[in-house]
Amino acid sequence: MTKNSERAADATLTRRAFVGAAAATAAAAGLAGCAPAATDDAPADEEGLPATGEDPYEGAEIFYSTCPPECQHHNLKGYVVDGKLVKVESSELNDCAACARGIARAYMTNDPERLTVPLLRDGDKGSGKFKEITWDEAFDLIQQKFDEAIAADGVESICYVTGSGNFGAMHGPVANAFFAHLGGASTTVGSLCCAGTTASIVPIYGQRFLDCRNQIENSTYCVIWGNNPAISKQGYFQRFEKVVENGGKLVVIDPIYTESAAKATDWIAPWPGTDAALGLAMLKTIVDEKLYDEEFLLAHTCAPCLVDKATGTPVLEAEDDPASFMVLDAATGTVVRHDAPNITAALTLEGTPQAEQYSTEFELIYANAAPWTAEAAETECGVPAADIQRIAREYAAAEHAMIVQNMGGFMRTENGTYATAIGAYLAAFCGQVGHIGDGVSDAGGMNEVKTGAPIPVPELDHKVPAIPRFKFGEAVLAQDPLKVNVLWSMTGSPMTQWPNTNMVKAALEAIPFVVTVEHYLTSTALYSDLVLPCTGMFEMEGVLANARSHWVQLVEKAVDGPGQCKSDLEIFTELAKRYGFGDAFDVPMDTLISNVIEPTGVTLEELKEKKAIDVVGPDYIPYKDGEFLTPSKKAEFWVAAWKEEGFDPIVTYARSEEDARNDNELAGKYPLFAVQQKTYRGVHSTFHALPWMDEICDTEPHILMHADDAAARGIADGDAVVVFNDRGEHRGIARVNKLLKPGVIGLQNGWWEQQGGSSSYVTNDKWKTLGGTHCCNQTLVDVKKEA
Amino acid sequence: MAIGFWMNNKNCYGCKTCSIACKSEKQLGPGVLLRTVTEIRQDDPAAFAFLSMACNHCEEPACVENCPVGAYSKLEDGTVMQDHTVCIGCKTCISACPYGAPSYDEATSTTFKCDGCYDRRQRGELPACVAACPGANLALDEMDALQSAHAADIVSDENSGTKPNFVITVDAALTEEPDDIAVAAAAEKA
Repeated sequence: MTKNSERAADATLTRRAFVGAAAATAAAAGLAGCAPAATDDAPADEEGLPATGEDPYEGAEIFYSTCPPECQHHNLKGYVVDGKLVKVESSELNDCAACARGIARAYMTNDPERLTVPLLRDGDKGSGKFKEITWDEAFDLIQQKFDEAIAADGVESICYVTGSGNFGAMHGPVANAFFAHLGGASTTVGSLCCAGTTASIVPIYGQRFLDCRNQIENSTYCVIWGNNPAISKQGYFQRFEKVVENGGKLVVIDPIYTESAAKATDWIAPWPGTDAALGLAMLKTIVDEKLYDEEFLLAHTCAPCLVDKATGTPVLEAEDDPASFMVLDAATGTVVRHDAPNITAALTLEGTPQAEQYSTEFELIYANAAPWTAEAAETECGVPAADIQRIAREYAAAEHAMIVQNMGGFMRTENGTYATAIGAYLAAFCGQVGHIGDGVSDAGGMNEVKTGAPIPVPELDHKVPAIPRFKFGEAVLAQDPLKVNVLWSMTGSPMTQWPNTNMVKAALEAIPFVVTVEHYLTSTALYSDLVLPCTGMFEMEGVLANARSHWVQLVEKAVDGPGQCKSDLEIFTELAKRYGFGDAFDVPMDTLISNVIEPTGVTLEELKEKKAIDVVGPDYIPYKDGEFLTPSKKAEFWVAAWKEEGFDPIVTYARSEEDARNDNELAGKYPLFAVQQKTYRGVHSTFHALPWMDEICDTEPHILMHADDAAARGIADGDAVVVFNDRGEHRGIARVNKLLKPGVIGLQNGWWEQQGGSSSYVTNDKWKTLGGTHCCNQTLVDVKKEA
Repeated sequence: MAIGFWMNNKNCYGCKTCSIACKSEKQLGPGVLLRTVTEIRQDDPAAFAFLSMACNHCEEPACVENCPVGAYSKLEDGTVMQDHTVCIGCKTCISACPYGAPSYDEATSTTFKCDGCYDRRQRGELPACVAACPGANLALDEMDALQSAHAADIVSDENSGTKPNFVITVDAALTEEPDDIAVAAAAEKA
């Protein structure tokens, strides 16, 4: 092709036919919202043509279901012709379109690679050698192994783990009911995704999973902090683009120039794990320059609440009333309840007699922010001081500013809880929460709507120890806190998603009986003793009513699953019968669904008629008008749980253990930061091995490297490389450019063993940080050319 | 009459749902894609953009001209249509098309090509790719309408000799034209 070297900078004047520039508003009609409307005018028939307008799907039976992994839970519409699911589309009930993965559900139902019969290991773990057995043999074996485990070491020596592959009600919640009925099997503790949000937004704002997706387009200043919504919120990423089209700003904070950064007005690239320092420096600028919203701080936050210098805890009027915070009334000079009428609470105590005994939360926050001058933050975060101050000023002054956290990678770091919390502080200081177009966006959610359990979960009379998920291998090998005789893994793949894969592998090899319930022979299934084939979407009934979505969705069965596969519910019901509590499980599906949706106010009849019901509403604003869901109804900055964990109860920052700037052996040996990237191939490990994804995405792991780092190692674009550290190795193809911060490499998350193996082979398994954050993005590595 | 596609290279964020929606709608076999998305990474100035391209329903289509069995025809509305029942799988169209639009199916030893979902349009529906795009970054319409409805920068390369009907709204950061990059990438892959 002829290259056009004369192409003008404004990309309009070319040798090509110049298209009459149309007003941007004309384009907007077609760009708004989701799929455009069909035209009314069908072309006229043309006789004798090979195409006649005939509809190959005419007369198809239509079924509705959902796409239930840890994503946006789009509603899906399936077409069945002659008993076969032939096509899946984004349903008309969505407010934005489902993606290629959802559409691929039809392929998955018919995929010859699907598991069809129970498989028993017939070789070494990992060898992929299995023999087919019957369900009767499988159930007998499970019962035998359960009985042996219970007799030898108690029921807690059976450990069950669920992942984020299916948020439907008939999966994880049914497992919880089953293992509680069994007497209390153990499970794991430690959230791979969003411990930072749980440990900060819940105490500070009172509740999480209340998201702002319906306010994005009303925002004038959107800070996408450490996440990539072009992929993780792809159905409605166009709403973020709309912010820019409307004249607003889109600021992406990410060491990698992602798909989202490419559409932003600003790209800020900090060192991984330094986000809390960045946020503290922004807060310092905002306080120093009095850019905060004093009215909001006094009316809706605990900024003026007193903290006793002697005890280091907030001053309460009554110890048994957690909402009875005290403030200094500047007008009378007396200490009164924060919610007493007609007071003027003091943000600072300087010059008052109370200053000797108390600090305000405002003062404590400023004291922690004070060391983070823009210059200090520039050094620590690798972001120019001027940029830090500029975005702080712009954020504070914006008409409607939103911080999008979206359970992002920035919180999967050692300081992740503080990094998440500083966003909550910034929004509350600037009054940028609780109104149109602002807020701190979580991934979610309908969490203000209560849901029920499909099967009641009996309460145990004793506490079952939980195994730290990130140190699962060490815990299993040391039999601490307990011995694991049986592992039951479902709706997830620890071998790809848990940190430090070699230790996960060691655990799976050491546990005498590992059961994996799956659609495919996944990485985890490869290391299992028994693999049970389970039904997928459109192959079973149920309901999805989860904190990640705005919709309660009916899960309809369109076709039978391949071969002899069974649903999680069917598997647990059979086992429950064998253990004498079958009655709790063997109840009609309508009853189970009703149990789930009854507290939402949606009736089964309504759900069956409408298929999916938005229980949040298009105009939803979390913490509306600054009314937080804490005991005091205010943003409570001082977090008791952090103090109980032995950390500062106010956001602070200290350099993490695994940081390439540290003057220690580790940093000397492994000088590159590695962060995990999501890809369009899948959601975590789900969809990842589909041939359809091979046709549209990278077909093997890519390792994103800066040209400077690649050159220093003699690596060229396209070279086969090995990423390594003391934990393990991850192999892939070098993708070399300048679209990331030098010193940082990007690893793609989700690759299966059969595809070359997970990037988790090298990831940080630190336990336990504040809040128990997963530290996969606090990982040091080096990279070498494949020998 | 001349129908064509419009593609918003400026706003597309690369999810490739269009490719899969097409494959699903047309029930295409392994390895057959009638719409492909090319990733474009550029260091300076920084850009990370995508071009989604299918058949450009050219004014002077090379497939029509070169197909030895006359499987291709240009319909009155401008659609370049393949009569799949007469295709012999000789791949002449694939090598003739400057845009790599036709796609060979190993399983049936025949070639498929985008018809802009002619059947769906006959029924008043949108092409599958257009309907599925989460960002509404695709459209199919009369070229005149596309050029007046969208803030479009270029019509794809008239120098290819086939007079393609493809209107692109270009990411302003790109220093090369996205369809040139896509064509070069397709050629490299082939």
